[in-house]
Amino acid sequence: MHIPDGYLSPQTYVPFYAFIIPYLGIAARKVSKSIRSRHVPLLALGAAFSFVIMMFNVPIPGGTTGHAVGGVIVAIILGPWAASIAVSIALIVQALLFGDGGITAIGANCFNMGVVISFVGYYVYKLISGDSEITSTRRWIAGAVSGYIALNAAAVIAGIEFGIQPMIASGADGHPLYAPYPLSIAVPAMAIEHLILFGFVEALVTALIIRYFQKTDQSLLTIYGGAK
Amino acid sequence: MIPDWLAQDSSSVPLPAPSNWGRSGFVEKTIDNAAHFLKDTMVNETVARRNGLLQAIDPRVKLITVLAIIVSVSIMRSPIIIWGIYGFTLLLAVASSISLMFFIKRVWLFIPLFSAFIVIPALFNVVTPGDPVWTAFHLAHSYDFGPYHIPDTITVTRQGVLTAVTFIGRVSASVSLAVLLTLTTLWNDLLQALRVLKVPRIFILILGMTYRYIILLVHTVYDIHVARKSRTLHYGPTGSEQRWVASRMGYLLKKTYMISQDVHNAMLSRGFSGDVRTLTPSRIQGYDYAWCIFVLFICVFSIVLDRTLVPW
Repeated sequence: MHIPDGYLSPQTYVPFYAFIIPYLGIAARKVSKSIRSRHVPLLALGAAFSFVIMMFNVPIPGGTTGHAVGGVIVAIILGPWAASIAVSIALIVQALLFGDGGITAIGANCFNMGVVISFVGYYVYKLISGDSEITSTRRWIAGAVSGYIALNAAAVIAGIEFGIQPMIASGADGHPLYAPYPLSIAVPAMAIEHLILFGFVEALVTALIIRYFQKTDQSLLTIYGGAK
Repeated sequence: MIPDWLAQDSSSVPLPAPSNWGRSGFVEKTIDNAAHFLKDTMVNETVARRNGLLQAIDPRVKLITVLAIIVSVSIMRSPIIIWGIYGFTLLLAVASSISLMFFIKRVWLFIPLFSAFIVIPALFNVVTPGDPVWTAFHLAHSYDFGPYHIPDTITVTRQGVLTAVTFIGRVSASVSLAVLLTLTTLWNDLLQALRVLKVPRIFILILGMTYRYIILLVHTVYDIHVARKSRTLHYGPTGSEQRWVASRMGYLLKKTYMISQDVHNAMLSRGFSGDVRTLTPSRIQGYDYAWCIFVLFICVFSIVLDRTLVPW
């Protein structure tokens, strides 16, 4: 889901930059209020974890493997504001230091994977888990559903970003200059692969990590709530 | 005395690796990912320390000028100019003591090659209507499925070719520029250079710590999987292996959280108060000014030429 350079026109990537720069400032202030001076190493390590979790190969039926984005579990543990910063930092490091994901697309990538996944994931999790016990089955079911919905929401938004390119940036004779597929192709293409594969991987990983914490260290599931 | 189990012929022990259809297993894939990542990081450091054109330029100047070219490429419309910029990046790579084959391989695997693959359908009139240049095949009649229209003659169109050439050129030129920046600049210098873009110091501190802990965590991921591989004779059912992967992710998250607390305590004990100080950057030299003027010329000249070839 990392959008590379060349896929988005300036009409798209400039507004995303205009949104994400002040957003990160506001989010940093919110985080520093809730977790105080611990935020520097916590955000750095949260970002490093967000980066590294994508490296894990998860076995899936059929003998192949898939990857998880991991944004939802980070949001459940650290809260949506800290998670959105951590994932955004991971994306900036990937783009600037490892050449993975476009430099012009940093704003859009941070919005899709940082902001959308963190907030949709966290609030769907909260909605389903409610005030249930930390060891409750509802918790990991909430994790699975939030992982699935958040990843698909981000994929559909990325699909919309691709799909509007032929409408807003085309050559003199109408040929697309950036991502070449219209909304009618880009959105279903992005949605289908996430609905039938990557969404399930994210759901599985989020649910299994919550179950692991329920069995081994329940305090990790109360970090965000306890810090507020 | 050697125990019986140790004296057995090891060739009789089933090896873990290739799972279904000869593909390597998830443990081997993760080990490969981690090993490649660590290798690439070391290669980047080695290339960044070589003597070359881009290595000699002040990191702040290099960051700004490379970003200026990337932004210029993003507003260009003519495939000729965009591919010209791609050619320019190849010259820059050679002038920066980077092997051309290594550079092309690093750039094209994976993004431009993937982009070239996904753009193939856009060549045809099904996606990009226009003037036919080659007829692929004929259908009995045209089809309509909601918003989708499939004409009775499937052709490659001039507009489709133009779209594909422009798109792949823009992606490969942009990725080449980003790779040149990362290959020729030490990561610490690059982070400090972000100050020139008015990025707050605290944010640069977090980025720097992130980079260092990525390396640490990737080493941990590598060790976890090598340890698992070394004690695996055969993979278990998919469900139990998924639980194992998730448990290792959970363990890594827990370890990450514990490290962050230790790091915070270590920072406090050294007097960290939230105020970040950095070393005074070196002065920008005449060589850097010359490079700035050269890049400015390249950007302005190519944009003017682009607008001449493809007017608004």
